[in-house]
Amino acid sequence: MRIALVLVGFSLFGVPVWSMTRERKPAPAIETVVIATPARQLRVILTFAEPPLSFSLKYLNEVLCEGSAPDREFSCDWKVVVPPEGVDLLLKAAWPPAAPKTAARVEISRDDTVLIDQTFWTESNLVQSVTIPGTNPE
Amino acid sequence: MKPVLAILLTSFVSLAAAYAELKVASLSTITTDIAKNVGGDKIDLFPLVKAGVDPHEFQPTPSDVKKIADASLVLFTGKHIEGYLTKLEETVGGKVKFIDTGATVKALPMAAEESGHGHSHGTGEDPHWWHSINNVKKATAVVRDAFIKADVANRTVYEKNAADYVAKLDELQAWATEKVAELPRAKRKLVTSHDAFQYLAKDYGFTVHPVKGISTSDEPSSKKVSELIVLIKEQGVKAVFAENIENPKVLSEITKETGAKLGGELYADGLGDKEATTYPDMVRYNLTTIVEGLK
Repeated sequence: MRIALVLVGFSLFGVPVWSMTRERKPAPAIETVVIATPARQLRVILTFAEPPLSFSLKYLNEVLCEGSAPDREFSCDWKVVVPPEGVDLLLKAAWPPAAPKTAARVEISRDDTVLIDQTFWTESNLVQSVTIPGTNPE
Repeated sequence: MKPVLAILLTSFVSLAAAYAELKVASLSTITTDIAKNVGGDKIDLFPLVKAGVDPHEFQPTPSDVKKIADASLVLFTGKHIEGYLTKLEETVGGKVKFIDTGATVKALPMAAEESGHGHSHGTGEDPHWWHSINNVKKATAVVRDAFIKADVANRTVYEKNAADYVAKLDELQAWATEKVAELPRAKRKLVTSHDAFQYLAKDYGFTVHPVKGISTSDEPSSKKVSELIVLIKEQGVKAVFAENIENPKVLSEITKETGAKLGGELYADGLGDKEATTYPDMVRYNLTTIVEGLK
């Protein structure tokens, strides 16, 4: 009976020790999936109700589009990585002094999907921020 | 006889003009600036809160109360920043008209209220509405209308002055839009000593991370400071900003822990006596400091 108890005791103690000390296969590494934010190819179309004396559309220090009268419609293509916070473009346009109230329309699209379609009315020169939203807005 | 009559008439007109002056008391440096621009020489202005004074801590003295009691109008910014207002109104009685210049501004919640773990400060609204230029345009209209109601004889002057001031604010708005466009949206993280820039953040796409709550007298918790240190490191925030009327001790500690620099002092609670003596100067100074600091 004692022998049986000793054997059971050794077995109970031995199994966890064996389980802890046995050689194991290395655990499979956790795969880190890095999702690169792809650059987006965007098309920008600017339409003015009255031809501006001059205009520019900028991202930070980069001029994306610029032009002047007599044209009313301008377009440009632009490739950009849009972070989750989005990006701001700066639209500036000037008209002759004492020009009547006018409007500027900004349309930004990707693969024929319109992302931005905004119209700005102004009675003087226009300085306006245009925000392209990010994929994961805050 | 005619010269005597002319002299009498001139004296009467001068006397009438002197009495026509509208006595206006102002409880904020912001309302003082608006009143100066709208009222011009048609008002007699008593600025009670001076540049560099903390409006959260201000308490009117007996001589201030006397000036207020002598005024026709008292301008205040509202949204519970003037905690003494109810007592003041009771003290001076009903003959003085109190004008809430922020009444037409839609209030924004403070940062801690948004995240749901802050403690309550009054209504939980950010009272610093003047950090949005559009809000100051709305306040200008409130001040103009109050001046016209109290002194209808000078209606055209107040209307013209207000229109000129709004034109200046439009120019300021254009400048501000261009200035902020220099900074990518991903870098628009504003770590400040107290929660005073929700309106600026909404207009220009910033996220505000204040060390303290709405009031300058709030004390930051060590948990809050630790969270900010993690955030600054994780998001690579380049600068944190102190305020002109506060000791930047906690912010200095944060800069030591994170490597972010102290980007400068902002004017959060009103105008100052150096770079920010007028409202447009204050906006230019604050935005230049923020944008250059975070670049």
